[in-house]
Amino acid sequence: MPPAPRRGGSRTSSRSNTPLSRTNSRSSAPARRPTSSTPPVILAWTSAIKQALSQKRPRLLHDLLTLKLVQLVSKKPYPALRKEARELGDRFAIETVIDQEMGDDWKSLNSMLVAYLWFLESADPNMIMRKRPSYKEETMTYFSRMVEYLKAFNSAFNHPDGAILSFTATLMAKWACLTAVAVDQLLGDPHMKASKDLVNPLLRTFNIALSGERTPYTSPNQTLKKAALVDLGNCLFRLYYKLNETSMIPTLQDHITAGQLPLSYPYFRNPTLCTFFYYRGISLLRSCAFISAHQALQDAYSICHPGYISHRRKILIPLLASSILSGLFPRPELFNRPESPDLAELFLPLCYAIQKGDFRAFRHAMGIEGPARWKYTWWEENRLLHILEGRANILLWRSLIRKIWLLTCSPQQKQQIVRIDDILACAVALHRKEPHDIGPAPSSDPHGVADPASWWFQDSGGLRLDRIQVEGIVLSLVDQKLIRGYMLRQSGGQSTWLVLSKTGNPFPSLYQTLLARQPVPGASASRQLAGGGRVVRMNGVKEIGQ
Amino acid sequence: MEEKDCSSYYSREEIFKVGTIEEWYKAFIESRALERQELIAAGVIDNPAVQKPLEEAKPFRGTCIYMCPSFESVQRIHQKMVDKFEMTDGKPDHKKFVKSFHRPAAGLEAPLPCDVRKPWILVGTLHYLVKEILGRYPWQECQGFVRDRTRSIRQDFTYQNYEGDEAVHCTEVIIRFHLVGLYLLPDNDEYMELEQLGKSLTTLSFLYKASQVPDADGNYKRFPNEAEFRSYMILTHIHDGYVEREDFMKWPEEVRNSEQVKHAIRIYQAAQKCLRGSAEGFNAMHYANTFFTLVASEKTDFTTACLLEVYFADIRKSALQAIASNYMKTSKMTTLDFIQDLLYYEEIEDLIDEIENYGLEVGQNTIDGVSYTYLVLGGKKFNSKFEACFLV
Repeated sequence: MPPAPRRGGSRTSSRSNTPLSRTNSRSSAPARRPTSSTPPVILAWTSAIKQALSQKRPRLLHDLLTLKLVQLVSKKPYPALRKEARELGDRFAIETVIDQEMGDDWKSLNSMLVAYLWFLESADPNMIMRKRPSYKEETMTYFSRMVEYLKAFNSAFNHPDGAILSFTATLMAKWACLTAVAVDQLLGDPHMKASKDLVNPLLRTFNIALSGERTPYTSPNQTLKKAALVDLGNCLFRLYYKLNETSMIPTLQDHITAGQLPLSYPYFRNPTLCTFFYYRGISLLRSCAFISAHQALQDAYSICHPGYISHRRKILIPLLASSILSGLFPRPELFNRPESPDLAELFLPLCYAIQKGDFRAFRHAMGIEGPARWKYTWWEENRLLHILEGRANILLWRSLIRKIWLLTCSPQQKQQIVRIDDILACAVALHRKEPHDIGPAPSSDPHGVADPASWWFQDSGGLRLDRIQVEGIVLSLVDQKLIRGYMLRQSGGQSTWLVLSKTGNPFPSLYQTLLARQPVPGASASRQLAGGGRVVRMNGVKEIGQ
Repeated sequence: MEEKDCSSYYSREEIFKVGTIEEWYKAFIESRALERQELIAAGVIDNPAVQKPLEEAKPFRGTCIYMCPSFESVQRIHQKMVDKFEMTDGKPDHKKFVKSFHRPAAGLEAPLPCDVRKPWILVGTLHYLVKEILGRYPWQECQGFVRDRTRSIRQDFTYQNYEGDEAVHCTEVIIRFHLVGLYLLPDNDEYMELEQLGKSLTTLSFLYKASQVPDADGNYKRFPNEAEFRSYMILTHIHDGYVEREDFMKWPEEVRNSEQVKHAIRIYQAAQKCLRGSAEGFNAMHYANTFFTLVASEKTDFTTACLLEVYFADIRKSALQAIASNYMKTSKMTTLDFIQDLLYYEEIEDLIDEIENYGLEVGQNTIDGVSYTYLVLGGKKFNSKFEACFLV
């Protein structure tokens, strides 16, 4: 349970245009006693909230609890509500008024409303207009009270009747995220403290939504806590990626997908689903689960509206990478779409290189060598450089070996044999740099040139390919079932053989091979989740002390 | 209240020359309670009984100018907890005392400023440990002592939330110490070194964040050894998906394009394994020979090699398993000489021990009068004896 809101103020501010002085938590002046009558706008506001609760109208409730700053300072009745909250003076007075109007039925809701009015009291047009120099301090106060409001919200959301707050939770999380990002930018904070402060309260909201009720989500019109789960997850993913603390993301995504939620329209809005599948795909891509990443990103791309070109491009780039690494090459027609005009120059050479097993063409496609060095920076900025370098290498070897097989073996041969020495000779030729790529001095080439005449392995600067290394690489291919066959060493220093399978295709479809490794649905219960977190249902468990 | 060192209450020389240790211990216990009250009243340290937000906590600054605070020196002599490296002629020598690591525990009082050493003292203490202890005594003998004392150095920086150059320098030296320790110590102590190594690298990663943000003049701070230690971070997480997850664009350009980082990434990629039965980790290289060749190359320095040695057993195990599964079962040509070259075993006996440990057999064969040993395939199933104990 989050701590109860502190009585009294938290930070002082420079505003002095209210008839009553404000106190802070450390002031020694006694709190002003509230008047017995509730101010009219607050009275109307609480009446509307009671009406929304009794009539079970979550959208009306959300309209009364907005976090959007522009609305708070300009849209009726928020300016008047804010003015009355200020006139009450301090948090204790607000609490008295709210308790008086709302009664004792739902105490945590009362605390939430108090926190909301206290947060509203800090909203100032100067944060947008920035006419006074105190706008930074005002923004910090505003954000810290917003976080306090979120904590109080969680207490109310955790109530058995808290499902009515799920719509509010969705939009509250969204606006809180945007505010945190804006605060970090405004303050130029390298440690992104505002975003960090927001993570735990939102995570608590997520856990409440996850474990809140047992009712399954079977109809889009149901008012359930878990209806907010995906939106809350998306906000958390955004924060985690911003903070570059991504270890919890797979756990949260696994909880969402394992929660038996109908991840489709109309149960969730298309933007929500698109965002979720995008983050899911990115996370899977980084775990090198390329088949699953391809499926998730494909879903996101299919849902994304055609008018949102930048969003579609953002999804398409990792989608192409995961597809290529799964053995699914894009058709050239894909690059005629408005979101992908320049992607052909990047991805098609990559596809051709992998298809042919051409290491030199691959280096050119990655910008490691050749005239298009800008590609290296592009892959780096899109965080695909190391994934492609590390995970496409074995596919290059596979394609090269397949070509050698096609050239050196005939179907009439009893045994389909590829000699390791043949593979070595071809690989050495393809690993040599072209003369114009060998710089005059090693230090002038950021990618490293050691011995210009050397044949080297993977930009290692002088590390030479030899027979035993190639044999180790082929062993890995056979062990991962990317080539079907076995290896046979020869006596007298002769080349080792790669004996290919006689039944079926010795070079099975990469996509089918990887697809066969996908776990059977429902068999993932034994898989350990990263991050160490599972939400534990506490229903029926006695509290400590009982 | 002005900063003062711990000798303001009692002179350091006086403590160890006049009176008995028991008397000084009692005097310290009483004076510390008074000192704590004075410091709280003067606003130097926070009152633990008063709750406040973390943002309003007072910055804590250590004032001790000795390698070991006076109170701890007296306490340890009184409790007879003096290490042999802190003695001269069999007697406790306070000039050689180095503050030990104290695990923070509930119920224990927070340290006073006089219990925490100043940053420049921490640097001097670390240099003392390296030159006077590690430089003079056999590693196996003093490693535990130095590990504990370096942990205390890191703890003192943490107490003060200090992120200056001294913290970076000390953390870097401590990391190198742990890396060398991985190589010099027996395997059963490996876990403790890896644990402290991981924590130190995490701290250093946080300290290096200062290089990602410009200062008031728009200049970026640079750490001369950042490339070296970033490479250690990559190699410490060889099986954690670090390279795929990390945002390298946040690193300085000269660091991410440095030879050390690029070499570490090559080793990392060569060591990736295909996880059997998993839907992740596709298209892993798992080039065992390439891994060892990169380790043996001149681009791998000594400390990096010490770290990589940790992974040798696991990579060799996976490679042996692959050999047992994918070479022709009836062949007698999978010689141990080949496997020794493939997996860079120093001695053939080590290879034979491992083969037998994994439940496989070796055989002898002769061709043209030349006899050799080979791996018997298709016989026993690959398994470690340890696992076999639990199989029904």
